[in-house]
Amino acid sequence: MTEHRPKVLYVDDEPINLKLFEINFRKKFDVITANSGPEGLRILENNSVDVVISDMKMPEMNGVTFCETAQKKYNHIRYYLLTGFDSTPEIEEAISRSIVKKCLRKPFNKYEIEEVIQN
Amino acid sequence: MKNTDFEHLYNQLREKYERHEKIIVQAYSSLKKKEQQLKEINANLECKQKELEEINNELYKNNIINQNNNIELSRALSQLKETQSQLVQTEKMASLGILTAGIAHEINNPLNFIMCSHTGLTEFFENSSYKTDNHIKFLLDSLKEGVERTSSIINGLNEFSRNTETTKEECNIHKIIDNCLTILQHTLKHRVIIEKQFYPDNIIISGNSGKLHQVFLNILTNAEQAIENKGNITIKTSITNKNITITIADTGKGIDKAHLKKITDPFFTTKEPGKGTGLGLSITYNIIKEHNGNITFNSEPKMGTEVKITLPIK
Repeated sequence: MTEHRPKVLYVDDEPINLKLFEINFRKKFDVITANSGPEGLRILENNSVDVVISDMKMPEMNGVTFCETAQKKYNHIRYYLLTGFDSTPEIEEAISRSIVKKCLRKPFNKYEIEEVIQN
Repeated sequence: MKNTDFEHLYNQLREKYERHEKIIVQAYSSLKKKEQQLKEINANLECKQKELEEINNELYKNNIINQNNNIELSRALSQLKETQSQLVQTEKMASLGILTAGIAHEINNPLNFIMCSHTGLTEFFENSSYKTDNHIKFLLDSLKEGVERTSSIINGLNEFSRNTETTKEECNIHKIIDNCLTILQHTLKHRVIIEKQFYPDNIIISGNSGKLHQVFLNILTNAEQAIENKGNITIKTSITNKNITITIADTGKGIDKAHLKKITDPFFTTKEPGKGTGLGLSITYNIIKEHNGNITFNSEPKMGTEVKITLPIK
């Protein structure tokens, strides 16, 4: 019996971040990437994802709005933010309302991200 | 004397008497009238005098009120000035906060590129024949060190300018002092030797992290600016009973005895125009008071200054 490989959706508007995320985690997880919130929502419609990791500051839809919209439809997925910002009241509120489980910081720490995905 | 003569004389005398009597009666009634008039005038005068006294009293009272108003007005004016200076400072810190948050975000993203690439490359080399190559290891470690150092500066800046009013944040005193030293690094390097005599464990108190960063940045900036060429700054931390004590001593030019009492007054400065607003220590003093702490200054001209801060642990 093969172990279940977690499927991760990573959303960030920086193409370099998307590519680097994929390179770093493709061995352990199934990685899907999206360059915006709306793109992420389209991907969630056709893929069964376990974990979503999203950037915070993106055009169109920020990380919290994206996670909140996605969570209404896909409540079983765990949502995390990965941002270069210090915590903001909006992020703290999203954590206290259990929309987002945790806010991870850029520059990324591979082990921290692996841990939240495998959790 | 004949009878008729006598009668004549009598009549004459009587006439005189009657005339005089009339005059006396007239004079008497005129006097009475005058007396009455005088009484009236007197009463009137008394009345006027009373009125004048009342007016005088009123004026006296108004004068006291005016004096009190003047004292209150000048007190309000100095309060207003102080509040205004603090508002300006708060506004400045808020703008700085927005600016640093923006910069932090913009820098953390490219740092993320480097860190992700470093992680990817490390993994790649571990699975290759370069696994034991010392040069590769040095290059990779340098990349990581660079990212971590930049990231810690950014985090320090974020901490420094965080703009909240809470006094219930966990504040790690040693970390706050280290963040301030990192920010001042460029002015200290090759000139000022920092000697840290820290309490062996972390000291955590409940307070406002951003504001405590301001306190230590102000004190350390003053210490650095007091040292004209080369010198030392010694930072000691200790825990006594329910308080923590932080002592920052410099070997700079010291503070004149005459100035020592005024250094926490708003706008008091001996620095050249443009180098100091005279707000640093006034704000520092207020922040320490907000944290129920105490700050004292000991200084000897030409020898240096020692600043002692005590803060309650809870």
